[in-house]
This record gives sequence, structure tokens and C-alpha cells, in this order.
Amino acid sequence: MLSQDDLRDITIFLTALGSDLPNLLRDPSRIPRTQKTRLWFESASRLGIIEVSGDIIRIRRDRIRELVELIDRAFDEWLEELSG
Amino acid sequence: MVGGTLRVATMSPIWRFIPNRIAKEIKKYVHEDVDDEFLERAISIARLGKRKTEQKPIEWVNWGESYQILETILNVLSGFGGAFLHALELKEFYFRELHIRIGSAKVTRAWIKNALSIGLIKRDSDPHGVVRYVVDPKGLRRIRDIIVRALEDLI
Repeated sequence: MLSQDDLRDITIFLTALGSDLPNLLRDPSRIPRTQKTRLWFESASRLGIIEVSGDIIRIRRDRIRELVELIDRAFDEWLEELSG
Repeated sequence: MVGGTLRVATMSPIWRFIPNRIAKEIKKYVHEDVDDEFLERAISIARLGKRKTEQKPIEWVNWGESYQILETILNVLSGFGGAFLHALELKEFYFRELHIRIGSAKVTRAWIKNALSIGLIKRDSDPHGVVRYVVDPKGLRRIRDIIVRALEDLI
């Protein structure tokens, strides 16, 4: 089940960099390191989607796949509870 | 007004047994001495409140075209004092029930407006005509599809 904190991290990860996120993930070196993007880095790290080592940002697409499965399961449970 | 109030006060022990009669009796005093301009403004606010909330098209096209709806959906799910998880727990609720959990009428109103616009909840009414809101499973499925498709486009 997704907690309020998980939902917050997913929201920040998907929205903090705007609609250019897919392009930025293809070339993570373009992601600016500013105060504004600090939250994005924190949320993406908590979700396990990025690994930062110095200047190198590694995108873990397997973790995005796992996140999709996690969201699917959470919604299934919510839908089940609604029908109960 | 004073005479009326006095009459209502004198009669209240009796009218306690006939609540509908007392309601009818005091109804005419409610708007007495209230400025007409204030009443008109109150009426116009009520009209705005009843206006149908515009429903946004809920489908995923791509990041460029569907980003705005994704942003709205995620804000409804994660913001507004955790209103989404409270609403899910309640399944169906009166404004006041959600308001008690969130603690702010302004935030509750904003969440309901946004949740209606993305089809997450539906407006309903109880047998007395009082507005209730119901979490819509179809809306929840559509929302899941959008989030999942947005993430899949990142893989």
C-alpha cells in the first residue's frame, strides 16, 4: 500500500522537473543542481530511481518498473476496499 | 424583531415538542435587518457553488499533451492535507466529514473541486437532499492508468 509520503515522492518525481522529464532522464547530466531541484533528487533517491555518485547520475529504469507494479497493487487494494 | 424573538423565547418550551412549527415561526426573522447587498452577494455565492465543476478529459496521450492532467491528478492524490487517503477510507462522505479530518474548509473545498474535475469523486445526495460525495471506482481506474502510462513512458 502507498503511504502519504510515497504519494508525495511520486508527485515530486513526476512533476518537479516539468513535462521535459522524459528528455532529462535520457540525459541526466542536463538536470540542473539547484535549490529548486534538490527536492526532486531527494524524492527520486528515496524511490530508488536515481543513484547519485559525485557528478554522475544513474537512472534505474528497473526501479521505475517496480514502482509501476507497486502502484498497480496499491490501486487494486483501494479498488477492492471500495467494492467491499 | 424584538417582539418576535420574545414570542419565540416564551413559546420555546412548547415548540420543543413541535420543532417544525418553531422553524417556520423564526424563518421570517432570519434575514430581517440584514443588508440587501449582503444578501444578494450571499445568493450569488451560493449560485456559483452550485455551478457544475468542469470535468477534464482523463486520458493519457504523451508527456507533452497530458502533463497538465498528470500534475492535477498527482496533486489531488498527494496534496490537500492527505484528503485522498481520507476520502478512500470514508468511501462516501459529507463535506463536513472530510472537513473534520482535514481541518480546513478552504482546503477541503479545493480538494473536492479538483477531485470532481478529474472524476475521482461524484456528487450525490442523501434521501434528505443533502450533498454527499462518493469515490468513483471508474475514476480511480482511469487515474491509475494515467500514472502508470506516464511512468511507462519513462522506461
